[in-house]
Amino acid sequence: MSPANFLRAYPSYDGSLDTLVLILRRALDADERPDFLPCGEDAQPSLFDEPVARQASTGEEMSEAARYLRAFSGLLFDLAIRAWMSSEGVEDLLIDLAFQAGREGPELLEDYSIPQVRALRAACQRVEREIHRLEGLARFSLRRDGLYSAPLEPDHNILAALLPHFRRRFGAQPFAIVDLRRCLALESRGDQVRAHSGAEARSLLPDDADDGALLLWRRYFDATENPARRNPALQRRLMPARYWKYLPELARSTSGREPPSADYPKLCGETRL
Amino acid sequence: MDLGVKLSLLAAAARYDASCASSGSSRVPAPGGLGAGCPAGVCHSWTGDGRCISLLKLLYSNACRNDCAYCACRSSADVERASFTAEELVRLTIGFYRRNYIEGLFLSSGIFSDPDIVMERLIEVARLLREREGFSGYIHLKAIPGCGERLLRRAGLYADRLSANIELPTATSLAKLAPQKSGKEILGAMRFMGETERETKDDARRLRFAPRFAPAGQSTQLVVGASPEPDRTIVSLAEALYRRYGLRRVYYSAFIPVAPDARLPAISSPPLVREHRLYQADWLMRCYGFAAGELLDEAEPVLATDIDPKTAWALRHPELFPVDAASADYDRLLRVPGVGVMGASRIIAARRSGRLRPEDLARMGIVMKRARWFLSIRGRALAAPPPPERLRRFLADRPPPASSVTDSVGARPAAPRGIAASGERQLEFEFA
Repeated sequence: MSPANFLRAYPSYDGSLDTLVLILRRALDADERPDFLPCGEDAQPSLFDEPVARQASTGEEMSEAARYLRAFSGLLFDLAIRAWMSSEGVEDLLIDLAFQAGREGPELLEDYSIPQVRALRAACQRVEREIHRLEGLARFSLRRDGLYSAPLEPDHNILAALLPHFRRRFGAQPFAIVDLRRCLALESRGDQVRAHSGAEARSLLPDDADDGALLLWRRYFDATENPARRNPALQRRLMPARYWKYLPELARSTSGREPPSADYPKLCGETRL
Repeated sequence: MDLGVKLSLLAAAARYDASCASSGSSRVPAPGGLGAGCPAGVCHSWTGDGRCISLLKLLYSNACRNDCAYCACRSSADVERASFTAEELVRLTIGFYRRNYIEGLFLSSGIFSDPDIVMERLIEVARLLREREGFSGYIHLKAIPGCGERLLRRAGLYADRLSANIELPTATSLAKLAPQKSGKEILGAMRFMGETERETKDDARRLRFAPRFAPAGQSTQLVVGASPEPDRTIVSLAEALYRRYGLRRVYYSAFIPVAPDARLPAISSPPLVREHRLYQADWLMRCYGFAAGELLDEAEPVLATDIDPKTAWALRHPELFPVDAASADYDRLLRVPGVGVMGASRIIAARRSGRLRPEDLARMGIVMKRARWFLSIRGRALAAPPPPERLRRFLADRPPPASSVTDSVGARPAAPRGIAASGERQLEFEFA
């Protein structure tokens, strides 16, 4: 399919999950292998083609696309979500495999002898691993205003995947998870969830309120290690040092400085006031 | 005593219990409460000894009237004693849980009084967490040896997992190293917990709101290296516990000398390699369908330290290889060194499309360094194995023990250092 025909058939991919699902829905039934183009409202297929009119896509169309995709293959649907979250840019691989799966059946996605299947599933596995890891490593601090806040620096865009886990865990407890890499935050208070970006997201970071629980946690962490079995290499292999910055039990320098809560705003390009 | 000091003391005392899992429970959140089960378990941190921190693992008290030779809290030990109150434990658990430090609480205790009294204290902590705090996170309670069945039943209604540590694999060793403990009592408690778990599962199938008893099952622990029994005795006991009492896990904890005692072997370091091999053997029994008798027998009572148990078994049975990856069933594929659960599944999935090729195997997660000597595809072996002794050296993941120099495959390696050879025939537990 030529790029121009692709754009006629597919909505412009704006980077949203809804649009990706819609593209996948159409790829399943497409006659020709689609050519994926980078997202962008004004993306041009080439310098020599005329801009084409975009088809409007409705919310109902998107819901139908999601249902169709899930009914075709729950695995494909899950892979779509993980691929969208991935920072490795694997959407074109996903669309290509969706097209093939539409021809050969969803079992194709479990055939590890196919290089594209291996590549896509490995990328999605990295996203899944990070989600599971941060479900454990996210550390919440109690702010003066009663909000529990956790700063994160995930490689992938996984806040939306972490949210239901913590809502189920914390119930009515108000909390916020802040993605410092992307300056995004999700705040949960009871039944309400709000998304924030930029300065609003930064305003949800932990403050330096005195938190006795943190000191007790450090005492517990130090006491529970068995010195006769000490194995720092194994510790680092299981929990890479890049995660230690936000773990109060490990984010201690030899100077005894407190965890770098003062450094959080700098990560979003502002100096602390 | 300051709460922080108590926490340090009673966390240090609890660290010798290897159990750390928070998996196996899908407890739903209580309305208006805090916490939820996560069936796969969650690791929140890793200590400097490489152990996962999933639960807040504490002793209620390190005061104990027993004098078990291997235990840091034994009555004759010169250590500072402390006890929590139930309220302190509840505050710590809830405070840490809210901050995502832990998945829940693991609570054991020294036996500072009558076992029923000690067990009631542990149950009270669990009750406060569940009923007053609405806590639905993970709770693992120790079954105090000698407490009554009524209390065990109550404990199981609050806890996700219960455990009774058997510590030593034979009655002889228990009598020598932990004379106040009764193997019959501990096994009796395990039998009761296993039966009760089965009964309540049957009830739950018929009655929607039937209470669940310890939905994550029960576990136990064996100390490795404090007594002279060979690996065969330990592995056979573990197999019997899995099959007869339905245990979910047996943990193996390398003996660490905490104080000089003439009843214990004089070792300079804990037998970590032996512990590792026992975990590998345990995994083979639970997940790969091996029987204890296949891994170890009277001729081979000790696990090799230089190669893993699966590879050792394969080297003893060359007549069963190579296995044809293009046609072998799942269980046969699992027997191939270097092929795990995921690899076997992927081979079978690739076979359906007729695309299985030798070059694909490594990309499927098969460890070709080991597997290539034991696999073929459509009748063609992937590699011609060298002579057995050379193959064993090639597949070794550790240097062989110094005293086991031999040229033949499957030669019995020397018993680990520090284990006194016992001339007595070891008594084994009798299972009712």
